[in-house]
Amino acid sequence: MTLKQAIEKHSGLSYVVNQLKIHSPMGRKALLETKFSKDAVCLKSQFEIISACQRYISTNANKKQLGKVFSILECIHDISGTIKLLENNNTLDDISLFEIKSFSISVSNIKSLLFDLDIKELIIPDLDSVISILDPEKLQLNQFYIYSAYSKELVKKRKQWEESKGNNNEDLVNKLFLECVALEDEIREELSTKLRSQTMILYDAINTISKIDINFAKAIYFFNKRFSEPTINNSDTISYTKLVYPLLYDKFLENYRTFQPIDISFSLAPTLITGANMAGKTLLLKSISLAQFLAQFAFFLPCENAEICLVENVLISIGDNQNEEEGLSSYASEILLLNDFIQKAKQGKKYLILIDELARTTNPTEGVAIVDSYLKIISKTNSFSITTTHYSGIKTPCKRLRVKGFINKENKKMISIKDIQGHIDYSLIEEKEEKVPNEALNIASLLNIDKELIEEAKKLIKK
Amino acid sequence: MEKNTGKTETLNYVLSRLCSFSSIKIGITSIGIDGEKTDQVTNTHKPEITLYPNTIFVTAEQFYNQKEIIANILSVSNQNSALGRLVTAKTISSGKVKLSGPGNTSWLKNVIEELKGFGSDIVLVDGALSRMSFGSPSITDAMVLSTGAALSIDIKTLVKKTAFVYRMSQLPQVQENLSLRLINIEQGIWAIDNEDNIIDLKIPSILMIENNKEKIFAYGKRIFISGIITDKLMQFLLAQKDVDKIEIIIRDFTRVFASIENINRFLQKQGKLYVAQRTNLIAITVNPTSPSGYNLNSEELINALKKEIPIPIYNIKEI
Repeated sequence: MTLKQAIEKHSGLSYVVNQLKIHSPMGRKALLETKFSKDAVCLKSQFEIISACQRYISTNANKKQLGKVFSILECIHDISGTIKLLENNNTLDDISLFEIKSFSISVSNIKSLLFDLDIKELIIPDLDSVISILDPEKLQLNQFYIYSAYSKELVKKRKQWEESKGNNNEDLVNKLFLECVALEDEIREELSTKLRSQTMILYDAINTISKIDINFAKAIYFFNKRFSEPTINNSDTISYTKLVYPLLYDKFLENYRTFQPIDISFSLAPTLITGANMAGKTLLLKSISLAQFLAQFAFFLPCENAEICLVENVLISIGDNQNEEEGLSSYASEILLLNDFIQKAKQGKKYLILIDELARTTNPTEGVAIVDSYLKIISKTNSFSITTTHYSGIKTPCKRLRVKGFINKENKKMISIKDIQGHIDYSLIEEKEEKVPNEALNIASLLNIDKELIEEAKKLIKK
Repeated sequence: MEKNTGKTETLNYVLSRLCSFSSIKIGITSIGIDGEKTDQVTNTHKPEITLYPNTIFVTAEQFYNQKEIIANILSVSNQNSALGRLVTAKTISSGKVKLSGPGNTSWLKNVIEELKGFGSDIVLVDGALSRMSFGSPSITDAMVLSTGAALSIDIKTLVKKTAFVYRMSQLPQVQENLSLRLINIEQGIWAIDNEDNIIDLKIPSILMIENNKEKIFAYGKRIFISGIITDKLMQFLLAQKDVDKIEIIIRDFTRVFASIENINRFLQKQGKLYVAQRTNLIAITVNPTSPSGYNLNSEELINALKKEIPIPIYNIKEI
């Protein structure tokens, strides 16, 4: 799975990725091609590069240099297509030669701007050998044509052509011009041959430039937004301190509202989360899935502290009815997805399975049975699982957490739907009971639902 | 105004004159190839542009590789035109090159800025009346119009058509505060009420005018049309009771696509036509020879045009 594929499915991920200020076309391309990594060593080394970049930008002088690098990156062209042409034994035209020269000069300018950047993976190859092929006059200018300096014969021929123009003999002018072109073509062929031996170093340069672009974009964004480097462990636990969901966190901040971060820790024993409606259970699942994706795509995480365990994939069911087009009922699509998760987990690889209100699409009696059985099966596998539910009476042993919910129960009548979020404590507490909180009617009345409906329902409950 | 009216010769003439002022740095480009399709089809003689040393030009990749001039590449665009990316280059020798620039007006605006950025004191744009929006005053400062026998071999008709375009270029401009607000409107039909409020009439296109008859004058008779005005619209307006109270504002004169007759009838009935932005038409050039080889009497032609048009008129064969 590439980052490009993942952001199509997960809006929270796409939000974070789009916040990165990538400056070059090759940087953008490389970022989207990032693979979902299951290799702890590789991820750790990538995290280390980002940290090193953050150390680099901690001085003002370096920041200034980097600003200049960014403006070069903004104008740089991706020349991988041109290099392909070269590899396929084509002779390049002036435009392609210009592009290679322009790229190489830009790269060498970046290299000198970042002369004291001491990160092994970001060392830019020296392209002087490429530039010297395309800069016979040694002017180091971002320009190119078939310079007369390439051949004495060309100098002579061009002079003859220039002189012939005054004589009103168009045939002669044309003949001399074609002879110039023939000489130029020979030079283009020579230049292409020389450049062909440089393709590896050019690819290397494109690669390094992409890495510089991506890692500094990450370093800056993670620093500004206080994302932290996750620790990868082998102990089969995942835990976050003060985890947020950036898409909403930023929106709340814009509107001067506070966003309550969440602490959570879970291991291979299935986790069951209960809590009132509107208490943020779905958002919690989204935050956990986002954090897992970010970590395995080599991003820092939107929390103060994170310990993660790498998984094969993140499997999420939050009822957005993706199978609607296939004409499946909501129950059928939910249960088929569940089946897919179970089959995957049973094969033994480690997944992170996040299910919002499992079996919500059917009757509570069978629903409870389904949740119970699922938890039983999943506890025997090697996968992490977090399941939210409104059902009481789930018997399977599991870690039970509850969103605290309303802070002040007495004043509930004074709360309006607009400020409800200020009256909910979103933190998680350990729950010993199998019973779930009954807040549905209270919340319904806050939402100004038909009074008769609420009163009738309350009467029925009392009975 | 038409293919083969001598647009390119005019440009070559301007270039040759400008190059005698060695201190002036010239930048030049053209609108995209769409405007030149007829030439590709009929294969009539289309001279390449002759450039002199130290001129900065912008043309598409395909034409760049066919150039008969030595030039130093300064930049290559990321965006693609119909004939590939655009190459900006500075001439080292004199010689010929075919020009094909950006395919849309906002890109053209950027290209003009780029040419100025590379040090051009003056930027010339090879346009085409069929895509006259490229000559709109928001992009270029001044315009030269080329007319000639290719438009019509009847002097009377030729003068009539040319004088009409000239008259449209002279349409009065609305007051500045209104003008500034109108030129930013990209689409739709808008009413301007007595307090100069600009109100969207929510008529997506003048093609829908028949179905929105009652809407159009809901806020008075001052209407801004951001797109083109066609015969259909003019006929609709002419059918109204008090044409003399109607004021139509168009973006600039290049948006007039209605026939001479309809526009004239509208103006004769005291209908008002304004532009949001006036075009600075500085000269007209005339080519008395038609592509089929027919020659008009050039003196007679120019005299007839001069009677109608009070700006400089030149015969390109004699300059």
